[in-house]
Amino acid sequence: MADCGDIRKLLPLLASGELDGELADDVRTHAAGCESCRAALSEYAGLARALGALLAAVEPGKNFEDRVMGAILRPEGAGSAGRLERQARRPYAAVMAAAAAIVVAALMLFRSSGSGGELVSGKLAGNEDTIKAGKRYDVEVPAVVRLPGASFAWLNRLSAFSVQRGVLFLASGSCYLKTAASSTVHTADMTAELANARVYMGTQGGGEAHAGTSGVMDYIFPRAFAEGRGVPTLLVVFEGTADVRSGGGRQRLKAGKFMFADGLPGPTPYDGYIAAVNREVDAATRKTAGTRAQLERYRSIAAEYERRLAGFREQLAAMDGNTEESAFLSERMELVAAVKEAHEKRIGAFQEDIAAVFTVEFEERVMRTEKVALAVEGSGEAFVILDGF
Amino acid sequence: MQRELLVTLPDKGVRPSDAELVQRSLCEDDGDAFGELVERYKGMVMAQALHIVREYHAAEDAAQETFVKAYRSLSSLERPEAFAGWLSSIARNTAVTAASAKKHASLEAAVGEDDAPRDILPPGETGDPEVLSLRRETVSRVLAAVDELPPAYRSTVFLKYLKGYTCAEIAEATGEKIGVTTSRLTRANAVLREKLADIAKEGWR
Repeated sequence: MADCGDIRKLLPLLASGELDGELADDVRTHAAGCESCRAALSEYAGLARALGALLAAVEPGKNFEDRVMGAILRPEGAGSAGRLERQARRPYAAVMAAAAAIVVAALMLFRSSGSGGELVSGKLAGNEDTIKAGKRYDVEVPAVVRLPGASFAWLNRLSAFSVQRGVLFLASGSCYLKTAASSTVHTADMTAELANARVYMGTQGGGEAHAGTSGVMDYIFPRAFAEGRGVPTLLVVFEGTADVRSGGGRQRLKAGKFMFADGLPGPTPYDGYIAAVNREVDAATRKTAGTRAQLERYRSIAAEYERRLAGFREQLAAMDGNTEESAFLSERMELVAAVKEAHEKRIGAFQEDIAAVFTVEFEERVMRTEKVALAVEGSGEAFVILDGF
Repeated sequence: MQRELLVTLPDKGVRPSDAELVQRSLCEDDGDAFGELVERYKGMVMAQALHIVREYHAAEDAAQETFVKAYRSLSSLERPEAFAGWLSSIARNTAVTAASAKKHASLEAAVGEDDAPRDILPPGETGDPEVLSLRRETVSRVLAAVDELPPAYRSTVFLKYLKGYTCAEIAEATGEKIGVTTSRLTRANAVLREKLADIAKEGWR
C-alpha cells in the first residue's frame, strides 16, 4: 500500500477531478483501505462542491459585464472619481499613440542586432528581426544587444512588451538608459532630455503584482490606487542631468535625484517618502564625493593624454618617411598610450566603487529587481529589467 | 439546502491567457477581450468586495468600480500575466474605500432612519430565516477563508471551483507552470479544509 504522506497531497487533486488514469486508481485504492484518507477525500470533495456553490451564489448579478463595459465607455463626469478619469484618459491615449512607436523602437533594437549590431547573448526565436505587438518573442537572458548609434528609445508605457520568467515577451518598460550625448526619452507622462546621463525609468502597475519590485513602488502604488490615481513614471538619475518636462512643468534633475512625473500640481502624497529616499541618495553622494572627484581628475588627465596622442598622430602623418624621427615619435606615443590606458583602468575602478555604493542603496530600496534582461550599448544603452518573479 | 454546483464548462484549447487578453485590450482597444477578463474574474473580485463591504449591492458597485479602475490603469500594468494579482489589489483598495464611505453614510443615517436591509446574500434568496441565517454565516466564513489566501492561491481557487478550469487551463491562463498551479490548489485545499472544518462537520449549508 502506498504511503499516506504521498497520498494525502493527491487527495485534493483527486477530489477536484485533477487526477486520472493509474494515479487516480492508486489513490482510490489506498483511500478504500485507509479510513483517515477516505475521510479526508470525502471532506475535500465536500469542500470542492461547497466552494463552487457558495461562491457562485454571490457572483455579481446578470449583465455585470455589460454594466462594467458601459461604465468604462460612459463619458467623462458621469462616472465616480473625477480624478481617476482625468488621470486615466491621459496614459491610455498615450499608449494608443505610442503603439506605432513600439514597433519602431523594437525594430531598432532587434534589427540592429541582425545588421551591424552584435547580439552578445540571447537570441530571438527564429531570428526574427521585427517585433509585432501581440506576438511573443523568446529571448534567452541575460541578453545583451549592442546597438551602435542609438540615441533615443521609447521605453515606457510599452505595454505591448513584457518580461516573464526569463523570457522577453511584449513587455512594458522599466529600463536603465545610458546616453553618451544628448538624447530624449518619452513616456506617457514625461519627456526627459538626457545629457551624458545614466538613468533608471519605470512606470509600473500597482499593489501585489509588484511586491518585491521596490520599496518605493510598494509604498506608492497601493496609495496611488487607493486615491484613484494612475502611477506616474519614476526617473532616477545616476549620472549626468535630465531636463524633465511633465504636466506642463519643467525640472532639471542632477545625479543622485529622482522624481515621479505626475501632472498633478502641488505636493504629491509621495513627497515625504521621496525626501527620505533622497536623503539616502544624498548620503551615498557624499560618501562617494572623494572618489568622484578623483574620477573627474583622472578623466581630465586621460583626456589630456588623448589630445597629445592625437597631436602625435598628426605629426607622424606629416613626417611621411623620416624614419628616425618617426620611430622616436612612435616610441613616445606608445608610452603615452600606456599611461592613458593605466588612467582609464583607474577610472573604471573608480566607477565600480561609486556604483557599488549607489547599487547597494538603490538595489535594496528602489530597484530590487532580477538580472538585466536586455542591454543596448553604444551611444545608447538600455537594460530591460526582469522584475517581480 | 444544496444548490446545484454551477460551473461553466470550458471551451477546450481556445481560452486565451490573461496576458493575451490584457494586451488585446490595450493594443487593439478590444472591448471583448476586457469583457472576457471581467467574466473570468468577476467572481473573485465580487467575493473580495463582499468580504469587506458586507452588503451585496454595495459590493457589486465596488466590483464594477474595480474593473473600471483596472481598465483605465491597464497601461500601467507592467506584467500582463500578473493581471489577477494586480486586479485583486485594486479590488481590495476599492472595497476598503467603499466600506469606509459606507461607514460614514451609515453614521449619518443612524440619526435618521436606516432600516434598509443589509445582506451579503443577493436579493431573491428566500426561505426559512433560520436557514438563511446559517447560509449567511457559511458564505461569510468561506469568503473570509478564501480572502486570507495569498492572491495567486485565491485566483486559483476561483478559476478552479467557480469557473471550472482545470489546473492545465489555469496554468495556461496565468502563464505559470502547471506544477505550480497544482501545488497551489493542493495547499489552498489543505488550508481551506482546516479553516472550514467545523462547518464541514455540521454539513455544508
